[in-house]
Formats: sequence, structure tokens, C-alpha cells
Amino acid sequence: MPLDNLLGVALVTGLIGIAILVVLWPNERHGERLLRRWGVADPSGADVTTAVTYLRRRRFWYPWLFLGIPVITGALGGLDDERRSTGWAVLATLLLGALIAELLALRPSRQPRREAMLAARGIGDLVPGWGIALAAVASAAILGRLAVEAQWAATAWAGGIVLAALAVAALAVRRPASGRVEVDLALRARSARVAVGLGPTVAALVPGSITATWTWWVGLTAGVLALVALLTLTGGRRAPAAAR
Amino acid sequence: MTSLRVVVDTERGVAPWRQVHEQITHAIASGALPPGSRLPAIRQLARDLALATGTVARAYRELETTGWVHTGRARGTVVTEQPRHPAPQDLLDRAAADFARTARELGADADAAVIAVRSAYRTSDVTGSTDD
Repeated sequence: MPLDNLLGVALVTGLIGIAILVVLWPNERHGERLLRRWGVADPSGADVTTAVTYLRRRRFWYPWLFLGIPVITGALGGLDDERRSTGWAVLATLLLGALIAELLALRPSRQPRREAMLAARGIGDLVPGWGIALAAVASAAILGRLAVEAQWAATAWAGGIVLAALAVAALAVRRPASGRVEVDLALRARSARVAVGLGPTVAALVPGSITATWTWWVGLTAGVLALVALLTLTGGRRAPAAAR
Repeated sequence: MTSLRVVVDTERGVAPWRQVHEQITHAIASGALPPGSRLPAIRQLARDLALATGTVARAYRELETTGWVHTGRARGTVVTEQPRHPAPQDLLDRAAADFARTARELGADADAAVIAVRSAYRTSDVTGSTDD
């Protein structure tokens, strides 16, 4: 893609990102709604503050990622720029924003009072087993389809996206606790479930050529599975304590 | 997943390892953590509480020394079966009996013994905060 086209695309998507950030910049209402949706019945002011911080850590990066992803993918190459959709860029932004936010959350708390759950914690406590299985099958199908088609650059991109999603889920398990135990668990579950659902969905949208009908069907099926995982893991009201 | 929690307050004046140790002991003694319950890994609890790994390791070591928990390679740290860990009241009664015997041998009456206990109680709060 010519450089001026590339910059034009980056500029337009960046402006869209900033406009979205202004609209989506989280406040107390967003924080409270997020907590209630993820199983915290009566969030206090401190709980809401924790949730708002959680959202801001993510959404702050959206415009910069909107601006940067087209530039980076265009510079690195390997993706069919003409077929790379805005939807893919949006979802990739959400995933990378989550990864940056989870890395920032690794900083230990400086509050004098700290609270932690007295139970071992693993990914199975945050994401239902069927969700992990669904995402794994979808990811394997997506990567396998691209590899069979010898779309190595696309395979690398899709593999990187899946790894990023795994990293977000792993960090959601490992990062230090924040706030009350119920709030901490709700936010961890949200991070892990969004990552497990979003990873294969973004990977499925990596554009690549198709030379065989059966690989098209595999790709479609994998994409549907990924979307089902994303919607069922993140939709509706959640009770993170009932992950199993 | 249990909803039991441990809370550490670094401004309380008690060493963080001791706060962790006390709360886990209380949870086990009260039955809130039944035998076989698996405690979080030392690294996980240390990260969650923003403490050094060695601080949590010390609390777990003390729990294992007194028989409250057992650490295995595969299962991690689990709460032991009774009767390896006596109830806190039994431990307190035993300590009081030992102290009373020592006080009698030194010729102290009950009032002097109580004054000594109060003073030691106050001192142990200060001493606990400098253990780490």
C-alpha cells in the first residue's frame, strides 16, 4: 500500500478511535454497570473506583492502537490489506488494549490494606471448561486451515493473536489482587473470558486466500465456533463464582 | 471456590507474616477451612497481597511446623486432618497452665502474674511488627 494511503487510513481510524474514546471514557456509571453484570450485587464506591480504573487502563489505549495497528500491519506486511476489515482492527484493538492493561495491572498494590482470596486459583476458576475447549478447537481449526493453504504470513499473524489472547488470560490469573475479593474475581473473570472468546474470533478474521472449498468450510466453522465462544462467555449477566 | 479471605494491613503494627499465619490458623480452627482444603500457592498469595515471597513462605512454614498444614510436591499446601492441629482454646489453656506453674515457682501471686501477662501482651504487639 502506498505510504500516503497508509497514513490516510491510519489517520481516519485514529480519529474514529479518539471519537469512540470520548464516548466510551468510563465513569462511575460504567463501573457500577460492569460490576453488576459480572456478579457483584451491591458495589460500594470503592468497588466502582476499582472497576473504573480497570476500564480506563484498557480504553486509554484504544485510539493509539486504532492509529497504530494499520501502520504496523502495513509495515510488517503479510496481511491482505485490501481485505482487512475495520471490524478486525476494532477487535484487535480490544485484544491488544486488554493485553496492555493486564501488563500494567502487574504493578503491586501500595495500599496499606490488602485482601486476597484464600484459595488456589487457575484459569478453570475464571473460564468454564467448555469455553476453553471451544476456543481451543476454533483456534486449532483456524491455524490449521491457514497452514494447509500455505498462508504462512497469515498463520503467523493468527498464531500471534492467539498467543496474545493466552497471555491476557494467564495474566488475569496471575496479576496481583485489586479491591475486595468479589470485585477482584469479577474483573479477573471478565478479562479471562473476553480474551478466550476474542482471541480465536480475531484470528478467524485474519484475511487469507482460499484455494480449496473444504478449507473455506473449515474456516467458516471455526469462525462460527469462535463467535459462539465470544458471545456466550461475555454476554448476559455473569456470576464468576459459578465459572464451572 | 471458597469466599474465605485473608487481609493484611501494613499499618497495623503486626508483622505481615504473622497476620497471614493468624488468619489461616483461625480459619482452620473454626472449620471454615476444612481438612483437605488447598491453600493458594505461596507465589500467588504473595502477589495478591503485594508481599515478598519469603514473608508468605514464613507463614506457611510456621503453619506446617505446628501441624496445621502439610505441603506436598503434587498437591501443594493442604489443611491437615484432625487431630494433628489442636483448637486454639486448647493451645491457650496449655500455655496458661505452663505460665501459672512458672509463676508459682518464682513465688509470684495471681495479681503479679496477671500484670506480667498484660505487659508481655503489649510488648508482643511491638515485637511482632519488627519480626520482618
